[in-house]
This record gives sequence, structure tokens and C-alpha cells, in this order.
Amino acid sequence: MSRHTQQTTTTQQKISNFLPPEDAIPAMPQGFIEFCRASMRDLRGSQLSTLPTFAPDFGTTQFDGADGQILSVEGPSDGHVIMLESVPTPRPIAAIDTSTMKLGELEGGILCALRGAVVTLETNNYRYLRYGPFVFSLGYDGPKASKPLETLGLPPFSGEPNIDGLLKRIRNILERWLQFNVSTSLKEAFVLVDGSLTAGTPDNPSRELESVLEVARRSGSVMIAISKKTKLRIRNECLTNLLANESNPCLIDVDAEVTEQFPPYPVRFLGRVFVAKLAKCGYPFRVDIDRQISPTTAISEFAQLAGTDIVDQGYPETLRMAHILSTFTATDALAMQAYAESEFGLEMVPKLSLRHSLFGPFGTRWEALH
Amino acid sequence: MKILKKEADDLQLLCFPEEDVEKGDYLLVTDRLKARSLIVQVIDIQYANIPGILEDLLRDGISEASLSGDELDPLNVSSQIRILKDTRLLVGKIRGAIEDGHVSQDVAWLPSRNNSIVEPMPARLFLEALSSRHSFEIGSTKRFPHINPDLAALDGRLNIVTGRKGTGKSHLTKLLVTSLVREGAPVVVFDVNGEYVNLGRSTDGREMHHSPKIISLIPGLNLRFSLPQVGLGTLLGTLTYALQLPENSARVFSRIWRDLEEQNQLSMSALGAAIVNADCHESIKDALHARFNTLEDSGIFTDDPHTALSLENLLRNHSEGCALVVNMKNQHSALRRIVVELLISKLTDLLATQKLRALFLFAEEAHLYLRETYWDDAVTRMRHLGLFTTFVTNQPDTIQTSIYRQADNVFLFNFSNEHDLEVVSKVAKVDADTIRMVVRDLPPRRCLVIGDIVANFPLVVNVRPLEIQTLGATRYFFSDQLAVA
Repeated sequence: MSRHTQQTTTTQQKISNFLPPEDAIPAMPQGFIEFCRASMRDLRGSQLSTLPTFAPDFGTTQFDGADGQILSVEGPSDGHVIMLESVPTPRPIAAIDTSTMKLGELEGGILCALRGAVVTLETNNYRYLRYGPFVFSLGYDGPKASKPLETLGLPPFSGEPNIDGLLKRIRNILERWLQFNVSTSLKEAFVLVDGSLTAGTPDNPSRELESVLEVARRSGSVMIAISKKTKLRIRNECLTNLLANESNPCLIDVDAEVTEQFPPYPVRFLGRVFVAKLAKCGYPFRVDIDRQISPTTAISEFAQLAGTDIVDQGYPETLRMAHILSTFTATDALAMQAYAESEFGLEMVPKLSLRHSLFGPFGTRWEALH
Repeated sequence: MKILKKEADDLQLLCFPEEDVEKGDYLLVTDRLKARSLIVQVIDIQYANIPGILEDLLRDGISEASLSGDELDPLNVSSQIRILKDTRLLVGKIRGAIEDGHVSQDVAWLPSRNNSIVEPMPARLFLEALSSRHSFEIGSTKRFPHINPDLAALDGRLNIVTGRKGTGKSHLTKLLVTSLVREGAPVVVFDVNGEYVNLGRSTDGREMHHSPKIISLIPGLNLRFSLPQVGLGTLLGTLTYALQLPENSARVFSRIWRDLEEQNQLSMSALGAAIVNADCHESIKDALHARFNTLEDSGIFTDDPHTALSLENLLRNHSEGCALVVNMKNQHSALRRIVVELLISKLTDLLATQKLRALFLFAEEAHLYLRETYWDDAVTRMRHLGLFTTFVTNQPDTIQTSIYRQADNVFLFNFSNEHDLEVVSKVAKVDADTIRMVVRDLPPRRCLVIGDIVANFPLVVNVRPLEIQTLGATRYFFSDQLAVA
């Protein structure tokens, strides 16, 4: 069994100061608006090569512990499966999700979009608040490109930035801002997020997650992360297969088995890791809950969550809706490109497909993969 | 608007929400580099097929159904999304081109997508295309408040007015009739419902300037003929076509007629007696007697020359134009057929002998009384003689396909029935797509005008109100129906 030690380092691994004080949370993340405008300011007349395929990023910024490699974790025995009895409560539920997409390539960078959604369930009433879309550019020219990022509280950097990492970092900032905002405003709530409560990577610093967890605790709320996809595997099988033979709601604590594979730094497991099936015949998911909550209380919290939200197919309805509302469609992509064109004077040109140009119809489908 | 696609004479355009376009509108696609334009008529408006629209609408549907919420969109990007969702696809037909400021038919070129601008066709260009020697105001379109086509486009032409019941066919026909009369044309109207008799009166009942030119003829009352006036040919035609007299009987009838003519005793009473005493088989005698009784009962034959109507004199006395409205209201079908056969034969005779120059005939509910052979006559012989027919009907399948193919002007009101649309789409002056797509959405009083009268630029026209008493409007029991109509 190998210990997971590999970490990606980039130039923007510092921690932002974007999260506001608890008593001064604005309705909008003003820094984002300023950042978008600042990043687009000098682009007038630039060409935007629109991407030939629509590619929204439905993933998550959260790092689940297995970054780019498959772990072989020894699983707990079947005797550790804990049956869940759902307990209805009047507690509010809030779910947060964000998504990003690349709208096209600029001469000196890339045009991106970001959107976030918060869905709340209170007294049987679902409501949503959708933030964005925020359209912004990320440049390859380090010093110049880092300037707009200052409005997000990110420190300046030199050299060519890792654009993908930077985009994840920006998404992470909005996500944490929304989580912080929600955790501050709701009391004794379930705060659901997509992914995990693992942090400590350049694009997902642990300090901000700690702040959010701290605020949630003070409000009597509990933060739970639900991951649709995990790279963690047990006995060469996906972690969630541990509950493959269970049909009734149940969970299994895999925290020790997962966390002991990692060094204590830089990756930090701020949540206790479970595999849970929240609904009868539902899908099992990797579920993280604030580590400072005891295992017994954690099980009780899962039971209450299952009894309070609709967990059709094992996935909470609030989080499902937050995901749907935050994702981008192809229509959104077209609209945002049109916005960039009309508002910031970008000139749209279709991106040249070299493969298509060279090989015509023989370079676009099956043969392109071989 | 932006050009999306061109195929044959179809042009597809993308139209954004703030651009106001309706079916039937004319657009000008101008290639700025080539300095020439295509004239395009919008025949259908659809939603543009935007990538991802299904996901977007599903998401909207889900969120609208189960949760409420707010959008915090400080950059107002959502407005672009709304624009995209409401972007429309205009399906257009290329009708012509503009070269050096003039309308041309050279459409064998492709406008640039990049360098073309699409805008509503200026009224000036369109109105120039409509010559106006004998103009009359037919109505308006959304962009052109006054459409004044040339009445001469009805002259020497074959016309059809058709549409569903209650859509405004008779209204338009009255407009055409009064306009022709004002321009000095002789018009005959076969009026099945007695709705044209007050064309000379204003809506408040006053006599109008052209009132003396509207002459109501009621069969048996002031529409009566003597046998010598009618002549053997006309009467034999009436007996054969309107009363289905067999050939053998017709021969005997001819013999009786000639005998009476030689004896200078041609009258209804003498004819009746001659039939009774005729030397022929009893069955022929019975057949002739039955037809004679029908003719006598009709009251349109008289032996008194003073009560007989001379069409020739009547039309000569109204050389400044008139409308002879043959009021056949409450008449049984046999009498209608007799009247129509008699009049057509008589008018044809007058035209053939040059006693009459030309005549416009309006056949309202034509299918109720016109024999089948008349359809062929109308497009061949009658036109050469100078009898220019306008058929008015709500049953388009009663008019033969050959008539649609040869019609010079067609006024189409709403049809929603596929069979009706299929029939009227046989009109040769325009493509079937235009008819199918435009006609089914026409509201009452709006019609698609096709043909010479609009210089072959099909036009959706709001037929103007008439200042005359139109009668014939659908009568309602519930008063609120009136407002809807």
C-alpha cells in the first residue's frame, strides 16, 4: 500500500482573503464583479476563438484525496455497515454548487464563465438564488494577468500561470463565499456541498474551508459534502461498491481506512469520510461530514438529512437542484459569447481545427481516437 | 436579422426578439458590396434551433414547477440568454431583386452573409411596383398604410376569391364591385344571399354618389324576358343545362319553336299550346310540358314586351358603369340555374355581337348554380369574348384545378383544413409553401392577394372597411359573438 504524497504546485497556491467578516456579508460577491470587469477591460478588438465543442465543467473543485492516481485502500469488514433510520426534522437545508466553462481562446489567454447556485429547503419550500454568470478572462502573461485577480484577494504571481488550476481556484473562491454566506445566515441547518471536505491543494486551500466549517459550527449547522464521483478505490473496486449489496439506507465509516493513506500535510481531511446510501435502493455516495462531529452524532445527522430532504435515488434534492441551476448549457455558452462580443468588443472567430483541416472527414471521429 | 441559409428560392433568416416581423412581410436583403438586393417575403416564423435549448427549457420547467427564486446577475448576461431563447427563424421566399433602384427578376446570385443587411422593404419600392392607372384602395399592410393596386389588373383576367365562411370574402367582393363601378365598368353580380342590393347605400342608410349605378334585378319581378328576346339558342341551352332536357326532346322543342317563329306567334301562351298539341311521342311531350311549366312558374318569361328587360338597353343607359345585382335570395335551385344560364347566354350573345365591349361577372357561391362546363368556358371562350369572371366560394374544391392553374388573381382568406389548403395550393401564381404557411394563420378580414393585381408580389392585406351597407354579415344570437367577429 503506497502513501499518497504527490502534490501539484503552481504559482497561485497562496490563500485569498476573499471571505468577508461575518457581520459584513454583501448580497453579491462584489469582488467578482470587479474582477470580471478588470479582466475584460483591455480586450476590446481581440479575437475570441470559439471552441468547436461545447465543454462545460460539471466536475467539482474539491480534491477527494486521490489526485490523479488510484489508491488501494483496505476496506472495513461488512460488519461495519450501519443501518440508517430516516428521522424527519424541521431543520433547514441549503445546497451549494458552482460550475465553470471555457468560452473560447483569446490571443493571450482564455475566456471563462462561472456560475453558482444556492438552493434552500425551509418549511417544505424550495427556493433558489443563482449567482452569475460571471464572464472573465485569464491571461498567460503572469504579471499582467495577476492584476485583476487582486480584486479576489489573490496575491500577484509571476511567470505563466496554470490556467486550469487558476480557473479551479476562482471557482473555489466563489464556492467558499457562497458556503460562508449560507453558513452565516442559516441556523441549525444542513449545508450540503458537492464533492468532499478534503482541502490543501493549490486550488482548494484548507484555511477557507476551515473558516466555513467554523462558521457553520457556530450556527449550529452541519456541513456535509456528497461526492458523485470518487477516485478512491477499495480492493481494486470503487469505494462506493462497499454498499453494492445493501438495498436499505445504510452507511459505512471508511474514514480511518482513507485518511491513514495520506500524510498529515498538505492534504487535510477536514471531514470524516463515509460511504452512504441515503435511500432504499438508492445509489451509494462518498459522504464527508465535519470531522469535529463525533461518529455517533454524524450517523444521527445523516438519518436526519435522509428524513428531511427528498433523497430520491440517494441524492438530496436540494443538491440536485443546485447542480442543475449552476450548470451551463450550450445556449448559455452562445449567450455569454454574444455578451462578450457586444459588451467588450471581442471579435468571434471559429477555432481552427488542425486535424479537420489536414484530414477532412478522416480526422474527426473514430479515427481521431486511434 | 442575419442570413442563415439559402436553398433554391428559400431563404432562412435569423431574427432577434426586438425585430418586429410578421408572416407576409417583405424584407430587403442588401449586399452592400454588390449594391444589389433580394426581395424576400416571410412565409413562416419558427423558433430558431439554438444548441442546448432543450436543456435550458427543461431546467426552466423544473425550476418553475418546484421552486421559486432569484437571479443575481450583475453583468446582465441573462438578457443575452433570453434573446437567444426568443431568437426566431424566418422562412422566406425570394420574390425578386432590386438592381439600380428598380425591381428586377434576376435572383441568380447569392448575397454575402457578412456584408448583407436585412431590413424591412421600403414602402416606396413596393408601391412603385404596383402601377396605378385605375387605382383603388384595397386596404393596408402592417408597413404600408394604403395599398392601391390597379383595377386594370382585373380586366381581361380570371379571378378567385375564396376562404372559410365568415372570413370576409363577400366584403372584399363588394369592395371590388364598387371600385369597378366607380371606374365606369359594367358588372354583373350573381347574388345568392341578397347581400349586394344595398351597395349604393352608406352604413347609415343614405344614398351614395354611385347609388344610381347599383341596379337590383329580381327574377320574376324586374328581371323578365320575352321569348323573342331570349332566342332559341339561349332557351335551348337553359332547357338542356339547367333543366336537363334530353336530346330527343330538345329536337322536338326546336321544331316547335321554329314553327311558332315562322308564324310570328312566339309567346309563352302559344308555346304552351304548341307543346300540348305537338305531334310526338307522349314521353317527349310530357318532358317538354314539365320543363315548360317550370319556365312558366319561374315568372321570368313574359309575353308583354313592356315588362321585358332589355339588358342591352340597360347597359347602354349606364355606360358610365353599373352593377346589375341579380338577387337570387330565397329562390329555389332550379330557378337559380335558369336565371344564370339565361343571363350568361344572353351576355355572351351581346359580347359576341359586339353590342357590349366587356363585362365583369362576379359569381358568388358559384358552385350552387354554375354548370361544370362553364368552368372551362370561363378560362377559354368567355375571356376572349370579354366576360371576366370572379368566382367567390367557400368550397374551393368545387372549382376545377384548371381554374386555379389559370387564375390571374387570387384572393385567399383563411383556411385551416388541410384538404382546402391542398386544393388552393394549386394556384400557379405562387408556390404551394406560401399558401400553406400563410393562409392557415390569416385572421378574418385579412387576405393573401396573389397575381397581377399585386404585380406578382403576394401580399397579405388587411381589407379596408367599407362605407357602404354590406348586409350578408354573419348574424349572431349572442351579442358578445359580434364583438369577437
